[in-house]
Amino acid sequence: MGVSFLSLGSIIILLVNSQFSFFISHYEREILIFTLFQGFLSALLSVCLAIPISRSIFRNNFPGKNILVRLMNVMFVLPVLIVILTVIKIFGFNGTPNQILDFFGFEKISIYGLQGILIGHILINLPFAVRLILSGWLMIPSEHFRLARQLNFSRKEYFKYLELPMLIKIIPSIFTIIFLFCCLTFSIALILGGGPGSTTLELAIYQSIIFDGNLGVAARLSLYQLIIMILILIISFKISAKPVFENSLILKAENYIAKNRLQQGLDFLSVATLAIFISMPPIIIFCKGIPNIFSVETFVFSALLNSLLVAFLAATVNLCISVVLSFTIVKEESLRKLVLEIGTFSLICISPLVLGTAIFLALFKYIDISENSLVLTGLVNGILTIPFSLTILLPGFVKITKRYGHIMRSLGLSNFKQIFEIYFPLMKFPIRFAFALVFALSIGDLGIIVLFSGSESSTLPMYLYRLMGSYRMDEAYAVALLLLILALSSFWIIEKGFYYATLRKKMLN
Amino acid sequence: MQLCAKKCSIKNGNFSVNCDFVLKKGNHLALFGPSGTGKSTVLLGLSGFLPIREGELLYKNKTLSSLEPKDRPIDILFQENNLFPHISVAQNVVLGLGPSARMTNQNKEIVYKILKKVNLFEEKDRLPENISGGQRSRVAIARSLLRKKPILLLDEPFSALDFVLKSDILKLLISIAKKDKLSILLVSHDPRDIRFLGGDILYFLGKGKTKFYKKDVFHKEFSKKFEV
Repeated sequence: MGVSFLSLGSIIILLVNSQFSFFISHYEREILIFTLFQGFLSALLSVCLAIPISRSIFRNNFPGKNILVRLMNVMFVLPVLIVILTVIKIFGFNGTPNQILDFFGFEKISIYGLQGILIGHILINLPFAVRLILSGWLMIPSEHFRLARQLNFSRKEYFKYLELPMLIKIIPSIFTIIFLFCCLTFSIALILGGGPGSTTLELAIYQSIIFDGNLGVAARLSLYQLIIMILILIISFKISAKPVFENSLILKAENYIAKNRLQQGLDFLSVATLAIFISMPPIIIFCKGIPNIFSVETFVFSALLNSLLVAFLAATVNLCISVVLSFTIVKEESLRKLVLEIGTFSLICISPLVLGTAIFLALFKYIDISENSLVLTGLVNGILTIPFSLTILLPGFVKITKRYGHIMRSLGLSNFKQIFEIYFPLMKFPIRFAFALVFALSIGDLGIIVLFSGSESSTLPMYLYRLMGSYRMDEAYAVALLLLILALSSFWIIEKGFYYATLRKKMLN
Repeated sequence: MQLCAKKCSIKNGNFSVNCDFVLKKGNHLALFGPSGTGKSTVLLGLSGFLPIREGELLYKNKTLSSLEPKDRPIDILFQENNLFPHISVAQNVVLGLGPSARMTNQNKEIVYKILKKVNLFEEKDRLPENISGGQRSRVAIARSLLRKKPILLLDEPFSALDFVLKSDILKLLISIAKKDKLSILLVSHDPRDIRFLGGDILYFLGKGKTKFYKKDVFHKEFSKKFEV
C-alpha cells in the first residue's frame, strides 16, 4: 500500500514545506486547460492514425512485417530526447517542409508551440498505439473471421460485428495511457513548448520549483493534476479492458474481406507511413551522429556509466516491488484487489518532478542530495515504471494463481516459497522482459536528475539535454547516437531473451 | 448422391490430408480418429476455408471447389467461438437469415420459433457469456438451421460438454436432421459419438491418410477395439 500512497505523500511533503492555497490563478487555469487539451489532441490523433495502420498491418502479408512489428517495440524504449532532436531536424526552420514553404514564398512555420508538442507526442505514441491495437486485432478469434465469410458479411457488418466491439473494448484504455503520458512528460513541452501560451502542468511545476522556488504552486498544480488523472484512470478502468503488452505477437493474416485496388493502395500508404515514422529518428541520429562521433568529450563515458548504474538500480527496485505487488494483488479479494490495482496504476499519474522534490525535501537534511542524485534517480525511475512492469507481470500471476493457487494452499507453501519456487521459475521470461524494458526506459529518460544533478553526476540524457541547451548540436547528435545504441542494445537483450524462451518451449514440446 | 469428395487433397500449411467419400442426402458421416490427424482440416476444406489442391468436391454432380464458403450448400459449427459475444442470443440467431437481417416483427417470429425448437426461448435476450456451454451450442445450431443449408459440418462443437449433455444435443440435432433431411458430418475422437450418429465413417489413419468405411463394415472390424 506504501507505493499507492507515494503520490499523496509527496504532495503532502510539498504542502508542509510551503504556503499552500487551494485557489488557482487565471494563469494556472489556462495551463491546466492547455495540458488537458494538448494531451487529448495528441491521444486522439495518435489513436485515430493507429487504427487504420494497425488494420493494414493485420490484414496484409508483406515482406518485413515481422521486422516492422519488432521496430515498434523498439520505438517504445526510444529516448524522448532523440525524438525531439528528430522533430527539430525535420520540422525546424531548416527542415524540408519549411524549405519547401520558403521556396514557394510562404512564411516559415515555427516548430515551437502546440504543433511541435503534437508532432513529438505523435511520433512517440503512434507506434505504441499501433502495437497495442494490433494485439486487439489478433485477439479476434479466427472462427469469427470464418463465420463472417460463411454468413456473407459485407464491409459494414464486418466492422459492426468483428472490429467495432474489439475497438470499443480496448481503445479507451489505450487512449487513456497516451493521454496520461502526454500530460505528464515534460521534456517535450520543455524543449518544443516555447512560451507561456503552450506551457503544460509538468513544465509549470518544473518552473515553479527550479526558477521560482515556489513549492506551494508546485504542490497545488500537482494536486489538481493528480485528482484529474486518477479520475480519468478510474473511468478508464471501469469502461475498458486493460491492454496487454506482451513481448511478442504471433502474426497471422486472416482470410479477410476482399479488397479493391483503392483499399490496397490505402493499406500500402498506411504501412509505408508507419515505416517512415519509425525509421526517421534512428536514421537521422545515425546520419548526423556518425560524422561527429569523435567530437564528444571523454566526459561522455562517465555519463554513460552513470546511466547504466541508474538503469540497473531502477530495474532492480522496480522488479522487487512489482513482483511483491503482483503477488499481493492476485491474493486479495475483489474490492481490495481493485483498490490495490487502481492505487498501483495511479503511480502513472504522479509527477516525477513532485516526487523528486518531495524526496529532496524529505532527505536534504540527512544526506547530500547532489552526491546521491544517481541513486535517487534510479529509485524514482524504478518506482514510476511499476505500472509498465505490472501490465506485463500481472496477467501471468493471475493465470498461475488460477491454475495452481489451490494446490499451493493445500500443500501449505509459505508466501516466500510460493514466490521463489513457483511464480519465479514459471514467470522467468515475463520477469526478464519487464526488467529489460524498465532498464531500457530508464536509460533514455531525462527524469528527475534535472532537479538535483551536479556537474559530476550527469546521465547520458542529462548530458545530451545540456548540449542541446547550449546549442552544441554536432556533439548533441553524437551523444544521441550513443544513447540510441545503449537503449537499443538493452532492448536487444529482451528480444534475444525471448528468442531463447521460444526455442526452449519448442524443445520442451 | 449428394456430396462426393473424389480423391481430394486438402492442404493446411505443411500438412496435407487426402479423403475420398460419398454422402447421400439425409445420411450422416463421422470423421473419426485421434487428435492431430487432420479431421478439422478436412472440414475446413469442405466448407471452403482451405483450398482443395487435388481431386474434386462435388455436390449434386456440380463442383464446389471454386465456390466461396457462403455460396456452398454447407454450414459449419466450430469447436468454439461460434457466437459473437457482444450481441444477444436472438441477435446471433437472426444472422442466420442474412448478414444484414434485423429483429423486425417478421424475423422475430422466425427466430423465436427456432429458439423454441432448441429449448432456448427463455434465454433469447441474454448474452452468450451468461448462458451455459450447452446452451451456446444450441444457439449456434439454431442459427445454422435458419440458414437452411442441406449439409451441416460439426467440428467437435460439443467437445467441452459432458457426455450426457452432448448426447442430448446430438439427439435433438439428429431428430431435426431427420425431419428436414439434413446431412451431418461430425468430427470426433470419441467412439460413442459414432454410435450416436449412426452413419458411415471416414477413419483418419494419420500421416494425412483416411479410409472410408460403411458403418456395418466399420462396426464389424473395430467393434472390439473401440467398443462401438
